[in-house]
Amino acid sequence: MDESQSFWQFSLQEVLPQLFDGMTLTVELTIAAGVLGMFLGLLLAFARLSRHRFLRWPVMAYVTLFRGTPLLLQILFIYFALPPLADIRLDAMPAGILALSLNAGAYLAEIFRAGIESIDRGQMEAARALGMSHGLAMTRIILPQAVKRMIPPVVNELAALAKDTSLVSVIALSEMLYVTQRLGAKYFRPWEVYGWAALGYLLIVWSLATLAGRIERRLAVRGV
Amino acid sequence: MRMVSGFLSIFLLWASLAGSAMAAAAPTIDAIKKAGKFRVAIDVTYPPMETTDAKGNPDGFDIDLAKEFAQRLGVPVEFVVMSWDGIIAGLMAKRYDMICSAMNITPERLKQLDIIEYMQVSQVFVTPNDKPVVKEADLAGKVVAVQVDTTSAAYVEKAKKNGLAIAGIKGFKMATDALSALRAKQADVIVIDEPVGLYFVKQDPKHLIVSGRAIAPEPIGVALRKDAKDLSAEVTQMIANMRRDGTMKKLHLKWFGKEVGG
Repeated sequence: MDESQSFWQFSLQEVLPQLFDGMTLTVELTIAAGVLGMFLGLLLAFARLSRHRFLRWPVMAYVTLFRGTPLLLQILFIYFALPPLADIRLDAMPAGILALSLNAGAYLAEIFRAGIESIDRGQMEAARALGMSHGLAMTRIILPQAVKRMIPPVVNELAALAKDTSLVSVIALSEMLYVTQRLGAKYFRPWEVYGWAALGYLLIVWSLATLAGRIERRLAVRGV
Repeated sequence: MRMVSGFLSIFLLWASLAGSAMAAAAPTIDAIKKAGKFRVAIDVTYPPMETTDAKGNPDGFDIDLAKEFAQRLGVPVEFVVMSWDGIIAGLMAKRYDMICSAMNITPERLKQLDIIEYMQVSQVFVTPNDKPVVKEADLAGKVVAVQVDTTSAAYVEKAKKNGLAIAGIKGFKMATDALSALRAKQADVIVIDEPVGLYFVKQDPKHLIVSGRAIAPEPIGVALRKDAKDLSAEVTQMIANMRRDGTMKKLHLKWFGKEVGG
């Protein structure tokens, strides 16, 4: 350690290379859990909207459980409690992705449900009256309109998810915050270290928002 | 420029005079007495050195030691429970007066802090009793759990860097999570301070053993800011007194059941 290192020397030689590795892991976690979470959320939302009670109730229980307990607890449970309890031993990365996906799925399910329910019931009735099946009316009429409305809250959820990935540092996954804290403990130069980490998270969330903005504009052009 | 350096030299002269006048006094100890409390940082995930009692209050060898310091200073102690990875930063930021949390004395840390030795501990391997790690070479092919930013973590990283084929190093924020990882079979071995390792084994004596020694006894100490010279001198004196009057021995017997080296 050399305290005389200038800001740029220190940043380029010590902080940024390691932070970049951590950021790669953070992005991987965000994308994996985001995609899986959306897929899960969509399934849950449809089940929640079903006419069958035995489909609706488990989903409500699921959402209550995963929204009602801290994500940190879910991560610790999957990593430390599943092996002795059910003999399921997941490595840190799969355990982290699983916990983040299950958690995000619960929130996204509610966003999707709200989006679908926000489209006037009359549209479904009209489509059915014209002879469309329920599934066809859903994919052709309801979902295209609902998706546009759902983009802002979904981006909110994904932004939260990107930052929540920092919680997996407790199971020794060296994502961005874990790397940052290691550097902080090693060099005692907090503002450079935490400053760069803040920029890293900003960059991820900003990229997400930009991508979502593009999708929104494209949908607007197509006029759905 | 001339003007500035003129002011500067006057200031320096004043400061040095003030400094010499203060030399007899004890600014840090005075400040502690004025504040009416001695603030000590601990990481409570390191039983039996630092842990919590049934009510959630800090408890352990270092807690008793810190209480002893406070009593001899004549003020009540206030514990600040910190995460290990932020514990030095907090001392530098003057959030507390001392770290009394089983800190190993290393050259890197001595650049930042004054550390006063009160004990020597070795690092040991803790494993399931059917798969012991007796010596360093046995770590080959194993997943090792450690607490991050500790002497044990540095030891394992160095062994790996030197070419030992360690299958993986998992660095947890809490020492107790290293134990959880071992019991959940997320790791094959823990490297940790001997008193803590012995304590871990006591939690599950049927399955766990201290299977070998990783590092010979090394000093641990209480850390103080470098500008708190008066407090450093006082603490050094207090520790010498505790060794002489039997207080230290009493604490060893209470927490380890025997006197641990040095």
